[in-house]
Amino acid sequence: MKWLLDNWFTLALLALAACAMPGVVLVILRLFEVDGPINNWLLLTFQITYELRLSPWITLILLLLPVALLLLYFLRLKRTPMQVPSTFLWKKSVEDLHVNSLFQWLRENVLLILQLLVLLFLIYSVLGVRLHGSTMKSRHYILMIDNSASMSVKDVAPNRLEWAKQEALKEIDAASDSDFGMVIVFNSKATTLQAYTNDREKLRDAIRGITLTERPTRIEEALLLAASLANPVRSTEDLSMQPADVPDDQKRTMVQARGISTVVHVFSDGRFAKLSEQAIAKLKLRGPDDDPKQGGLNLRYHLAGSLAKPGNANNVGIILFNVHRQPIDAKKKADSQQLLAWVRLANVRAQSAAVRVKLDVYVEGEKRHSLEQSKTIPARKYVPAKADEEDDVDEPGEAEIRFDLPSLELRSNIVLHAYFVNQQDDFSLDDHAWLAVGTTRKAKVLIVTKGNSHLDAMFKQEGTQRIAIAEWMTPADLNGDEYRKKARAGDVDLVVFDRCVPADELDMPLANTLLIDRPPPPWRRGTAVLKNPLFIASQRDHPLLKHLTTINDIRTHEAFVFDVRKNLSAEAAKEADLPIGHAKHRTLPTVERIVETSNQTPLLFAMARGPHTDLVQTFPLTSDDGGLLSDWGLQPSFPLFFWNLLYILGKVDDSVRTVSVSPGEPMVLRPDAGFRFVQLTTPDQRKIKLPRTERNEIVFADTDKLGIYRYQVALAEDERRLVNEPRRGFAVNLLDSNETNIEPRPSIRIGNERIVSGEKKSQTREIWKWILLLVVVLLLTEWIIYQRRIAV
Amino acid sequence: MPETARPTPLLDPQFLHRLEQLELVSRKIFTGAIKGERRSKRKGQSVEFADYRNYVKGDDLRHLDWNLYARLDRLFIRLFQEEEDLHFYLLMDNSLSMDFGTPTKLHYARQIAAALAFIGLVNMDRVVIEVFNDHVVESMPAVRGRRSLWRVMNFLEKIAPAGPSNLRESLKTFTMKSTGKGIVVLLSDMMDKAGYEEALRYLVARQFDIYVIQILAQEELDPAIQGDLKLVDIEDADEAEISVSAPLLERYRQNLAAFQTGLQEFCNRRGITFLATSNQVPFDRLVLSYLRQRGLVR
Repeated sequence: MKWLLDNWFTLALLALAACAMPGVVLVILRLFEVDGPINNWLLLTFQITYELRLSPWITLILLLLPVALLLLYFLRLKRTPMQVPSTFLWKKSVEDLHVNSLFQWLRENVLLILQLLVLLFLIYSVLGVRLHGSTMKSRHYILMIDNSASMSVKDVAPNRLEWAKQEALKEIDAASDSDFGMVIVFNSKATTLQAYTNDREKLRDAIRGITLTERPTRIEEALLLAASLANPVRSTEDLSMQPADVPDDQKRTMVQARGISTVVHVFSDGRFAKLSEQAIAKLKLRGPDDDPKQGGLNLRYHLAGSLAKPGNANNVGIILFNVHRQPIDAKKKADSQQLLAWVRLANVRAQSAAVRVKLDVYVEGEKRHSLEQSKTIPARKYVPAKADEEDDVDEPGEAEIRFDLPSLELRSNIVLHAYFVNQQDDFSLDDHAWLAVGTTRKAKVLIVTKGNSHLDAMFKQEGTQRIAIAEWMTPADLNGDEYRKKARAGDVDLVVFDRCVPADELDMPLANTLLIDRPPPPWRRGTAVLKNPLFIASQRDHPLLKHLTTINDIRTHEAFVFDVRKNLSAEAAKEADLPIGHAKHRTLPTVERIVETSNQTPLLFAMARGPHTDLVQTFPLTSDDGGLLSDWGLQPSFPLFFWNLLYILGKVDDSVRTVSVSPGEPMVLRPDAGFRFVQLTTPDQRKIKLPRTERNEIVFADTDKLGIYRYQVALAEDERRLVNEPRRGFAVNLLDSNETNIEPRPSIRIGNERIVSGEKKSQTREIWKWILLLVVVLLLTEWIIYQRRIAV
Repeated sequence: MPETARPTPLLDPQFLHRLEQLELVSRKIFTGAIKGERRSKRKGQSVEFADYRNYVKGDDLRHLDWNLYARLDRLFIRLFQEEEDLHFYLLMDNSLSMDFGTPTKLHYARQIAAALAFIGLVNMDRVVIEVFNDHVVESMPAVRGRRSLWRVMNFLEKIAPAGPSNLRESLKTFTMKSTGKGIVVLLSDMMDKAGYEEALRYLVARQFDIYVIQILAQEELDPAIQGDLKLVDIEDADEAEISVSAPLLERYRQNLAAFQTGLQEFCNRRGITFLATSNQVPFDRLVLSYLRQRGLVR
């Protein structure tokens, strides 16, 4: 006992060191980010995990504090010796003081122990140990950040996106460690940057990593993504799925939806298109009074941007840029084309704007013409909403400029660049627009027939020849090498088999096909036929039936009945019967009915064959002797159908149609059949080599930058031969009136709900770390003062 | 301040001139060994008539009053007031603790001793200087007369600080060896861990006319120290660890005051004149003013 009393100070120090050791080890492990296994072990053994609540360097300082304190303590012990005539009175004085205060002899040592203890607590508090399985209530929140083009406007410093990021970081700071957050960034698409986590550092990292894009805004996808992630539908028996008007006797027992009450923070300037009806139907918003257990999104809108003057934003922009081919004047040269360019301008200023628009015409990369026009765009009409239900009347002033371009060579690659001259506004991305007018890509069609007057008439007319190059073969040629070479090289876009098919499945071409009166191998044309079937369009909006309104008028003598199972050859049927997972198991394709008869028997249907499509027409057009078996060939719908066929399955590209996409949208390049690769140059002069896939097309999705993307198609692997290949291009343009109107919206409308941007409310910031710091400072100050003035 | 660097000579001529006009006063009348300039208890040969007495055989015939013999025809001896010299003891503490302060307490004590010794010498008193620390280290044989001044000065100059202090032992030795009675001036800081009471009692027992002059350095009276210190006793290397704080300093001052008050009371009760001084009090003022007030000199 006496020994204990004598050595209590040393023992206490040792005990403290022993207590501190696990904490120190944990902190160091976390600092070096190797805390995974120990956290797992802690979770399994003690149901706890830990993380650092302070940044590493502060933690390190905190760790060193006890050491510093000990050092100070021992330094203090090293007193300066000083000679005095007599220690007689001093000793007496010290003794007097000691007698005066009880336990004075304990005092300084106890202080040290207490201080060390406080520091120890601090270290453990910083560790943020969490007990799992507790009933601590945690919130869920989703941070949706708009990084579309209009977020680059600098009406708030440094720009809207940076402001939004800062606000989002504050929102993370305001959340507690038990709250789960998610980060979604949206522009024309929505991306989950960070799934639900309570590691706020991860959330912060995700926020910090967001950069500006030049894409337009579509909030729909982001909201649906948030809704699906916030409240995944777990069961169709959920209460939330119960229709509202079910009679009492038909009501089913529904389980309570285990919705998570989620707060969705939208950081945006509010400039996006209205949500579609489908999206609104899918979205479930939650009002403040709704039961949070029902799920639903609790939307909070944070306005990025300043609302200094409603109805006036300093911006004019190009919102539409199009080019039309004028009817070719017979007098002009046959190989030239006359183009007409339209530029639609928008003005979101409160006063009219006089602008000068220039149109540069580049032919094969060289500037040939430069046209300029002046125009005054009327002022924007803006009437603020009077009632809550109404929307603001907000019509930016619009004007259109038409440029009649001089006649240009038909086959050359033409790029048009429209832009404002000397225009100063807050948003520059919409001041330029580009268009690429390229060469027509013709479909290469192989027709295998014994003779068909309708097909002859179709493909030999001049109009068709402008978009398609047809080749003829006879069924006898199907066994020859020439056919096989063509079929396997993928040199054609479309093969028409008229009343004949290759005997072997392997001989089917690497191209889309139209099969007349025959199914593709391994299916057999059965003997079952329908007499005089009635033609009904199964999918009216199918692209192949575009402009076809008189399908019902088609008459045919007979059509074979096709069943994907029954018509299968015996050998293939065996393979189809094999269990799934068997190496030889054959998965039967889905039959996409396009035209059918009354009992859903297909008359025209499509089947996928790898990347290609086999279109099967179950009735012949003519008999072998040239007799007419169907009147379709005489109907107006026949050439229209073939025209669609050439455009879709033959991949005809007449250049002015799809040469412009929005940033971020994928661009489908359809080079000539049989190409090897495509060399693409982006507007910032990056060169990208796009290799050929199985299909005769390439999907290019890296279209984030506005401007002209040029590409060359290589027909051989040798890159040097690219020089001779024609240059083509496509344009990526913003052309979005919602982005051009850069004025932020104080409220957003989701269906009937209007969500007003949050009032400036005081953030519940975390102050515990500051208090922590204060405690440390106070303790040290107290120690110094005590030692200097009061204590002995 | 170390003893090696002396700030001033012990006495300067002007000061000496002023000292010449002073004399030591004893409140008691002592018997002297030789005739001096003081009235003695004894009747002796001086010019001051005291009494007559009958002649007895053996008396000095020179003192017979012949006029009375003529008138009364009887032999009377004229008695005169004997004037005697005075024993003036200067007890100087030269322990290490006296080697402290600016000027050092020892130097200050030396100056007082020199001044008092000079006064004594001028008045033909027998001046004895005893130097002690834990025992009597050195004694200067009794000297008289102005011409001995150089010896006194020489002796004082040679006193060097040394050793611990032990008042009791030193004063005991002194009282045992000193024979005469007279004035004792004790120059010391009185900081003896064993206490001063017993030591002073020895002096009181010998019926000396005692003056205690306590000399303290300014650093002792008002210590200007700071921080955490290990105070080392200059004499016995005793250590005291302190962390200087306002309460501690306050307590120290209280203790010092209590110590001095205690000493004062002890002295008063025993008829000892006590004077506390610091090394900052100008030395001449101490001698010319304070000691005069206390009645040591006049």
